[in-house]
Amino acid sequence: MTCYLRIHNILAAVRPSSDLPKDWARVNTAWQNATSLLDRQRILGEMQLDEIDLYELAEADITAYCGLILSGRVDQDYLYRHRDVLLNFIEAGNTVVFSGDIDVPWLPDTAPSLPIDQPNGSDIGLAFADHPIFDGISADMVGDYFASGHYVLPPGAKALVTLPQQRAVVYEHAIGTKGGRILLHAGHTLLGYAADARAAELSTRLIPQLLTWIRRGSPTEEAIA
Amino acid sequence: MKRLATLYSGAHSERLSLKRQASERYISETIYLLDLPDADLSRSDGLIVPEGLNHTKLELARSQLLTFMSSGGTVFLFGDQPTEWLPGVRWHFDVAGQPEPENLLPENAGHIFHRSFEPTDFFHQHGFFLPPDGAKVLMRKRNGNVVVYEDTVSTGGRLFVTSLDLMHHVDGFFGNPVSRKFFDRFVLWAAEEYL
Repeated sequence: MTCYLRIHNILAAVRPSSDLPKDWARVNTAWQNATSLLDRQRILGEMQLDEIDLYELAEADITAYCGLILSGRVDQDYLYRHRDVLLNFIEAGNTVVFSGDIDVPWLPDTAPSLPIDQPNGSDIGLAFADHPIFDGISADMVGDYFASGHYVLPPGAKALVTLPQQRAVVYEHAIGTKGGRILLHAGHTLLGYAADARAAELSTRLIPQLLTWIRRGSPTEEAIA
Repeated sequence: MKRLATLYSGAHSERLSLKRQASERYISETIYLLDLPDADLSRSDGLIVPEGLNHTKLELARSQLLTFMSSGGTVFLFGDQPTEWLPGVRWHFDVAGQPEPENLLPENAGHIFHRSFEPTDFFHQHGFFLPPDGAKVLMRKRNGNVVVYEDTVSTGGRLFVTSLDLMHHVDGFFGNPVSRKFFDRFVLWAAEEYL
């Protein structure tokens, strides 16, 4: 259960080139049964993610990584204070992924998230763009926590998952000249989906496809089978 | 009214909870977690430690909080506690399920806690505790697992511990009416009655 794993206390740093697991169903089962911070560290390691304490962002050497995944309930005051570190990381050609509600603009070009006032789930009209992260994923697979709000799309950004009236639940935004990107998602942490047994079909696609997209490759069918 | 301070760690749910009218009225000071080492806790009678705070930082504050408690201060702990960062706080994993008031049993019926709270005021709990000898159990599950207790023996002061979340389920997408009611009543109870 991800509520015990305190993913908001860490940056999940994406290793750029090590081999991703072949058997995601097994990794997901281990993640579903994780109950401690040691379990978290071990299983994120299997996903080829390193943990960095959030409060180490300003001092840590993150140059070895191609992406950072951050989850809701993060300390946004700290991130705002050190937003230049994140901006430099993105402008160097890397990717930052965040799921949750933004209150203060610690990521470039972001505005606070806006609420949705209706019950969540597949009947709220979620639409998925054709995109490698969401290949094979449809609204009826994502459950009640995928969309907790929406974001105003900054100029140049591309909406990947929308509510009616083109309200963006997920968008991708290119930053700088070296291929840096932000993936902003108003919803429950994407890493959490691997821990949701009810979303088994989704999680075996979503996590490998997300990590592969961050690494700029194409997932093999073997990896997401 | 006593002075009730709370820690805060920049989380969305904390921000929403601290904007509530009850917070403005009953919480006298908000202390940012990274400012805790320089904070003057002697100005306060009680300190809320909301769920989900970085435990590395809390462990660094251990002696500061023990000094606060031995000087008469009360510390309120919420949610899961993955390390025993204060004496006697031994937390154990359990699945956080749906609200189950029929499964919660008040204990020590004369305690002031029970004048304001009953099992229907509880949203789900995050695990349970193994309280030290001498602690006063206030609520346990039918299977014996303790989810609220008060400890006046382990620290030289007073520690109020529950595996309930205080702020995460109050407002916003993850909010619910039971948690809103608990939060508003809790800060009033702490500042006006308990401290």
